[in-house]
This record gives sequence, structure tokens and C-alpha cells, in this order.
Amino acid sequence: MAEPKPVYRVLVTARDRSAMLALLHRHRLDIGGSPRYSADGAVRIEAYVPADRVAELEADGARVEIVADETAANRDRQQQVGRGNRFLTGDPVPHGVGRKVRDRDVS
Amino acid sequence: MYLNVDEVDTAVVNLASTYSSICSLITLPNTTFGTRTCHALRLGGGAAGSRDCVTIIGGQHAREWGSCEILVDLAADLLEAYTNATGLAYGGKSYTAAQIQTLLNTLHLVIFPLVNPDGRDYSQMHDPVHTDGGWRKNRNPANNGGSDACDGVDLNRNYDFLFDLSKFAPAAHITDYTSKNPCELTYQGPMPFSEPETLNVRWLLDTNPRTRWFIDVHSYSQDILYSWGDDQDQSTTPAMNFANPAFDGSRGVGGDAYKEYIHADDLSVVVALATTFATGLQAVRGVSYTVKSSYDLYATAGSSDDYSFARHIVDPSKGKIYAFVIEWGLEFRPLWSEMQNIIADVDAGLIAFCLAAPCAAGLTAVGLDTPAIVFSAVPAGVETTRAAVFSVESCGAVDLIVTSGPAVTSGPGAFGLPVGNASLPAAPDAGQRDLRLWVSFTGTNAGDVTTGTVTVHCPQTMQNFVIPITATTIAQPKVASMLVLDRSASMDDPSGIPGMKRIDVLHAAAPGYPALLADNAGIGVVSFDQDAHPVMPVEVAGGAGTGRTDAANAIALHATNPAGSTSIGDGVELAHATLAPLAGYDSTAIVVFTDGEENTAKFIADLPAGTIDDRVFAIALGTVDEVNPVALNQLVNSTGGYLLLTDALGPNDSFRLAKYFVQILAGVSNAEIVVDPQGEAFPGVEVRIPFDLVESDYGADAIVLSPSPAALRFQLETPAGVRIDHTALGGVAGVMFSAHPQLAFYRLSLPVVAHGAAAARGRWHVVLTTARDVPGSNVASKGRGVPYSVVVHARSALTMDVFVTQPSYVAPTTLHLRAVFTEIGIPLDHRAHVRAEIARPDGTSTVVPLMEIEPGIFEATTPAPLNGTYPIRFRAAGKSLRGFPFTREQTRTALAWRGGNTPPPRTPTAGHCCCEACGKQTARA
Repeated sequence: MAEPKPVYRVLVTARDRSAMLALLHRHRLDIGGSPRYSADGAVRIEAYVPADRVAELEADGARVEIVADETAANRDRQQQVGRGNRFLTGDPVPHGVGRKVRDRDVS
Repeated sequence: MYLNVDEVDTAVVNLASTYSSICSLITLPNTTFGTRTCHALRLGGGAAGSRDCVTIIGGQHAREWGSCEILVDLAADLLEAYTNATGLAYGGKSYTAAQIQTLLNTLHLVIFPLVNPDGRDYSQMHDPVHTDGGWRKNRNPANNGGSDACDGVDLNRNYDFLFDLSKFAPAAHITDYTSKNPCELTYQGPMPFSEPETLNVRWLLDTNPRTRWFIDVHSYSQDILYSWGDDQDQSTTPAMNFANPAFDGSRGVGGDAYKEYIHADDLSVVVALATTFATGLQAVRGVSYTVKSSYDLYATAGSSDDYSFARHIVDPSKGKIYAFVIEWGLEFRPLWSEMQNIIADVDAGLIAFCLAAPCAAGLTAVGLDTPAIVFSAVPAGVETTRAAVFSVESCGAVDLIVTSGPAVTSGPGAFGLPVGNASLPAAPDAGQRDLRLWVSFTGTNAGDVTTGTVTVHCPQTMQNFVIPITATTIAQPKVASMLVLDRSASMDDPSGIPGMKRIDVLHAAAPGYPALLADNAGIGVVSFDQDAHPVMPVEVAGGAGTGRTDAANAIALHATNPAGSTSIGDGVELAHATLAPLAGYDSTAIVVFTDGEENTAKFIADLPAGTIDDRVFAIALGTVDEVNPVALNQLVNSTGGYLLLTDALGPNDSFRLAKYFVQILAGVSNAEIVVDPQGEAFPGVEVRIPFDLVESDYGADAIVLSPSPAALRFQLETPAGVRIDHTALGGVAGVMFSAHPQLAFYRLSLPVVAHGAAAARGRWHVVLTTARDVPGSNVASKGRGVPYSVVVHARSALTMDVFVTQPSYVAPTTLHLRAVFTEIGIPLDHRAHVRAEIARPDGTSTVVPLMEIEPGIFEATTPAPLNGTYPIRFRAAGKSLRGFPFTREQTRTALAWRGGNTPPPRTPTAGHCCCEACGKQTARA
């Protein structure tokens, strides 16, 4: 059985707002984050697209830049998830990333 | 490492148990389809709903892992810093310990880090990410049509806000972003709140009804979003809103006519708060988040933030919730190392948000701390005030308006509003403040019970408070006193003060006595030479009585008899006979003023032993040799009074006699002398004389004696720095001012209410100024200041009694000094220091410390080697039962003179003549 094609995280650019809405409507993209706008009216948005659909988007007038292999990135991140339960075996409570400082150290 | 779902839940549970004093564990009522029970935390003390609340949720979307860590770490940081009284620092952004304390002492933070544990678990452990950017929904299979790929509901489309997608314009293509298709990422579910996870969020809002701010943490894009998400915002057409069916089918298209209404005030609040978040975040490491409305490019329906903000519009009984969405980071699942930076960013921003939220929102919480106003044991005829105390949490101004009453519902008397309605100005933070509404009551008759009610309205919160009032009246101690004034021929002798005969000194000094009497006191006057003469029967001093004025007139008319001799016994006897039949007084006193030795019958020693049961005080003008007060001294000592002797008066002694009268009045009326300084006030120089009042003081008189009181601007300053000026007593309650030719005083009924602020215990000041524009200030215009003497009397349960005894009245002898302190009847145990400043007849002086020999009892002995007068000024300082500083002063005179131990003169009995005075019926004295 063939390995499934990866999902790419891509940056999709359309020439304007209505063109982007039309793209989103036709392709029902999995969007990541908010759109961003260029001075020339172009609209950019990140989306998650199976590799074999990138060409479809480009064929529909979108400019598509591949940012990352999300499938691979996901595998990597899943390795960064804790195993077991660290709060049962070690310090029972988390300590946030904030430094606990005395007021003399507060700028 | 990211937290797995078990770790998230254990972290939450363990935080609650570890910091149980400041944190509560909330168990959400709906378990997930994966049978998981969810937990949240409520940071901050008190029950749910007792404070304004920030509710923050995270982890609705499964693949946005870091939201949980942001919120778990936020709770952990705040709880640890609060408990250890530290501040918090995130990169370049820091918060003081006081800010952390304030945050958790004034707000509730409800933190629900993981709304969707089933989805997160799938995303972290199983999702291969082969079709999209990762699992987003929950794991509910109910609507999947048999396909696992179609499991789940997009929780952030499942809230009850424009769930009916037909309310959007067709051109909005709303189903592209809020889908009805279970197989799509944004599937809204079959109905609003179809999912246990969204039900849990709604339950949190319902059970924390003072949630004023709601934040839903998502990723990504580095944005903070505010309402609305269904369309662009507008603030001009209220009718154009999501709830108006007239606009169904019009919503969701950018740039067209329909826009969603948000009041301009609300818009400014949410923009300000979102900006505060972004500013706080950016200070950490420079990352910039965009502040904008949720709608951008396309519309959404059923989101948590729109639902939260819409609740108060759909159901006006619900509080307004300002709602936000944070879109952290630049990808769903950053490297853990970068995620830690993002956690720091967002947590710093969230703390900034929470600190600013109460003020930015302009919201107000008002609670009544005193369910009833109780006037307990008010002396008859005395006006006093009590407060209804409200706790206010608001940055904005708050008003309390009396809409009804205060009215009596039973019993005699009346309640009043001495300073009217109450208000607080705006404040820089929403820390709890007290607001007092003052009600007054004047005691009626002993034993009366008066009840009433007052209704108060707060326009900011639309609350009404109905407050019951109860007052009980007790008898006010009433004292009757008789002035016994010498009119013997020697009263026309020079006093020692240039230009003043002794009678002149009496005319100048004595009026302070009736002037300072309490209204209910009785006052009468007799005079004596070789006989006693009734001058004025005992009359009530003030109120309906005219005794104060009549006594002042009697003093003014008091004239010397050029042929008069001195029969103090006659004077005392007549005074006693005048007082004896009086009813309605709790105690009686006789105040003798004389300038010479008694030299004619009836002598004091002629009075049958024990017949004088009034307390007798005496002021003797002259030296001890001139007065030879053997019998007078014995009389005062045996009745609990005392003798003050002026000794020879000089040019600078103009106040001494007046102060003696004022002090003896304090003795007669059982008042305590707090301070007693004197000096001169020069033009342009403000004189500030401090005096301390304590919780045991229920009244006070601040008295200024001066030859020209009008040349002094006489003000009081409360411990809070509020000036009280007798020329502008509007807005001041519990203060009376009275001015007389050489004396002016403020009479305080504590607590005083000055411009809305109560003043009682603490350091007060008498403030004197002599300005050239003050009438009469020419007194000070010749290089000299205006002389003044300030005396402060306190009516108090903290008392100092002093005693001077001596084994002999002939030098050399020894003075035994004793001071006794009690507060509400309890000895002051090692809470005071006492010293006696003693002037000797030869002009030298000494200071003698008194040692505490028993709790509250101080004693010392000091030699009196010379004959003459020893003025002794007892000065004490200490701490009251509640630790507030107090002072007390008393003056006594000790005497030693040749003949001090000889038997007092008396009328000879048959065959016996005791002394030189025998038979001298008209000798000049």
C-alpha cells in the first residue's frame, strides 16, 4: 500500500479579496490563521492542502508557496508530547514560564 | 514537552489542592464522549459569583495544543507568585508582587485550559495528518454517518449565536466556514450546545454570573480579536443587530449595508483591553499582535466569543461579557522550544489584560457590609452619627442616593442625613473601597428605643438597599456646679499683670468656664466677702437653658466690696445649700475662686465634717503665703477635687488663670486633657499643633485661648488632612464652633464627618494662622505674634487621674506623685510613659519620670526643699488598647509654706480662740 501523500502547509495568495473568497469557496480549504493584505490588494492566507491538490489551486489562479510538510512536522511534534504523567511521578504542580521576582528586580 | 491530556488534568487538580486557600477546583458537569471529566480552576478567594470574573478557556480546537499550556502556566505562575508574595517577569515585561496580590484579591479568574480533551488526545497520539492541518473537532461520532473521518463537531461553531445559517446572506457563503456537513472541519453540530464540551463552557458562564470578560485562546496568526464575528462592526444603528429578524438573510458579507451593532462605549472598551493585551505581550520580546474584530474576510457563526457577548442582549438579566479570541503564534503546533516563548508572550499579555480589565470595563459592584445601622447607647441630647458601609469595586464614580428616609418607624426622635448622599470619585484601579452613608441621631430620653429605615439607590448598579436603623438612648451624665467668687476688698489689688487688678483677671479668665460647659450642665454663682451672697441659682447651661449666658453676665457684673473681708466657709456653705436640693444631676461640684486667706467666719473649718459632699475645686490667686490655704487645701483634698494656685503673676501670665479655669472645668466634667501648649502665632506662619485622639474618645473640645481670638484663623485638620473651618461647616457633621471674647473652641462629637470622610482616631491638628487680612491681626503687627494657648479636652474612656500628696506642708518635704490610667475600666498595662515637669519656687525646674509600679499605676517621689509653690505638669504618652497613640496632661500645684501645718482658722467656741483671726469680722484680706 502506498504511503499517503503528505499535507503541505502552504501560503495561498489571491489577487484580491473577492478572488480569495472565491478560492476558499471552490476549494473549501482548511485555513490556518487570519488573512493578510498587501498594499496592492493581494490577499494571503495559510492553508493545509494535500500535496496532490496544490496543482489544482495553482491552476485556479492562486499563487501557492509551500511552507512546510505538515504531516512530517506533526510526526515530529507528537514526539514532543509528554508520556505517562509527570505530575504523578515528580513535582505535583507545574511552574509557569514566568520568573518569580522580588520587586527590587522588577523594572 | 507538551502536556498530554492526563497531565493537563492532573496539573489542574494538583494546582487546586496545592493552593487551596486561593484556588478552587471546578468539576465540569458534562463528561465527554471519551468519558473524560473536565476540570477548571477559579483563582481568587470567596465563593463563585462574589467577585467580577475573567473566564478564560482554551483547547477547544484539538490541534492548537499550546493553548492548554498557556493557561496551565498562567494559573501556576499566578498562584505561586501570589502565595510567595513575588512579582512575575516574562522577558522584558514584569509585574510587581502588589499587582499580583491585587489581581487575585479583587478578581476571580476562571481558567478552563482544556475544553476538548478527546480531540487533543487524538491529535497528540493518533492523528496522522493526511487530509488537512490536523484534528480540530471533538470526537463525537454521533453524526458521522458511519465514517470515522466524519467524527466530531467544531466546538467553536456549536454555540448559540446565529446558529441558523439562513440568517446569513447567500453571498456570505457561510457554510464554507460554519458547515452543516459532519465530514467538514467546521461542522457546527446538529443544534446549539449539542456537545458536552460547549455545555461545560456555558455552565461556567452561568455559574460564574459575574463573568465580565471572556477570552477563548486559539491559534494562530498573532491576533487578538474582539466582537463581532458575523459581520463588520458598526456603532450607529442599534436596530441592525443579530437578533433583529428584519435583517435575516443580510448578514456576513463584508462591505455591504449590513454591519453588526456594537455600542461605541463597548467598542472602545474592547479595543482598549485588546490593546492592553497586545502591549503587555509585545514588551516580552517584541512580538506584535494585531488588534481587530473577529470578522475578517469571512463570517463565522456559533463561536464562543460572539455567544458570550450576545448573552446580555438576548437575555437582559445576564451581565455583559466582553469577549475576545486570542490567536497565538504562527502555526498550530510550534516546536516546544518556541511554544515556551509564546507561553511567556501570551501569559504576560493576559496578566496585563486582567489588571486593566476592571477599569477598562467601567463596571461596578456595590455591596452593603452593614446590614443595619445601630446607634447604641446614645446619651440623651447628644447628636451622633453612624454609617452604612458599602464596599465598592469600581474604577468609575459611584453614587448612593437616598430615595426614602431616613424615617422613624417607631419610637421618638428623628434620624438625619448630616452630609446628604454619598459618592466616590473615579479611581485608578478597581480595588475595593468603602463608601459610607452617614445617618445622624440625637439621643432622646433615657430608655427610649427608636427604629427606622432608610432606602438607598445606586444608579450605577441599579441596586436598592433598604437598611433598618435602631437607636437606644441612655441618660447623659449631668453635672451641676457652682462658682464661688471672692469679692473681698483685696480683689482690687494689682494682680501682677500690668494694668490688671485681680478682679480684672477674674473677669478675663472665668468666662471660659461657662462657655465650655456642656449644654445639659447646670451652673450657678454665689459670691462671698464676709458673708455669702446668692447671685444666680443653678440653671441649665445651654439648649433651652440660659445658664451659660447668665453665668457669663454674673461674672462680668461681679464687683469688689471695698470693705469686704474673706469668709470662704460662708461661700462654700451657700454653694452646697444651693446644690443639695437639686434633682436630675449625676454629680455636683463647687469651684472656689479666692485671692486671700480666710479671715472671718464662717471659716471652712467651721463647716461640720462631712457636710460638703460636692467635689470642691479651688483656684487661688496669689502666693501661698498670701492665701495661706490650709483649710481650703484640706477641703479640696477630702472631696476629690484639687487646688490650683497661681503664685505671683507676671506680665507673661495672662493665660495662666484662664487655663486653670479650663482645666478645672475638665475636672468637673470628667474630661481628659490631651494637650496644653501655648505660644505666639506670627503673621504668615502657620502654627500646627498636633493632638492624638483614640478609639476611646467619643468627643473632644479643641480650645484656643487668646487675648485676640479674632486675630487668629482657627482651623482643625483631620487625620486624613481635611481642613475644618468654622466659617464653612457645610458638609461637616459632628462639629460645633463657639467664639467668645478670649476663647474659641470646636466641639467634636466623634466620629466627625467632614466632606464625606469620617474622622475620629488619629493625629489631628489645630491650625492657627495670623494673616494681615484676618480681622484683628494688627495685634501681631508690631513685631510680636498673637499669643495663644491651645487646650484639647477629650471626653473619653481612656482616663488619667493624678494625685499629689505630701507628708508636710512646710519645707523641706517630699512630694509623692501618682498617675493612674484606665481604658474602658481596664488598667493600661505597660502602654504609657509618664513624667512630671516641676517648677520650683526658686525658678529652677526638674523633670521626674514616674515608674509603673502596677499595671497602669505610676508613681515617683521628689523633694520639695523650699517653701513656695510647685506647679507640676503631668505629661503622659502611650498607646491605646488598639495601639493608637494618645497623650494626656494635667496640672497640679504642690505647696509648702510657713504655717502650712498649723490648724486651720475657725470660729472660737466658748473659752477657746484658735488663731489670729479670732474676732476679726471685717478684717481686710
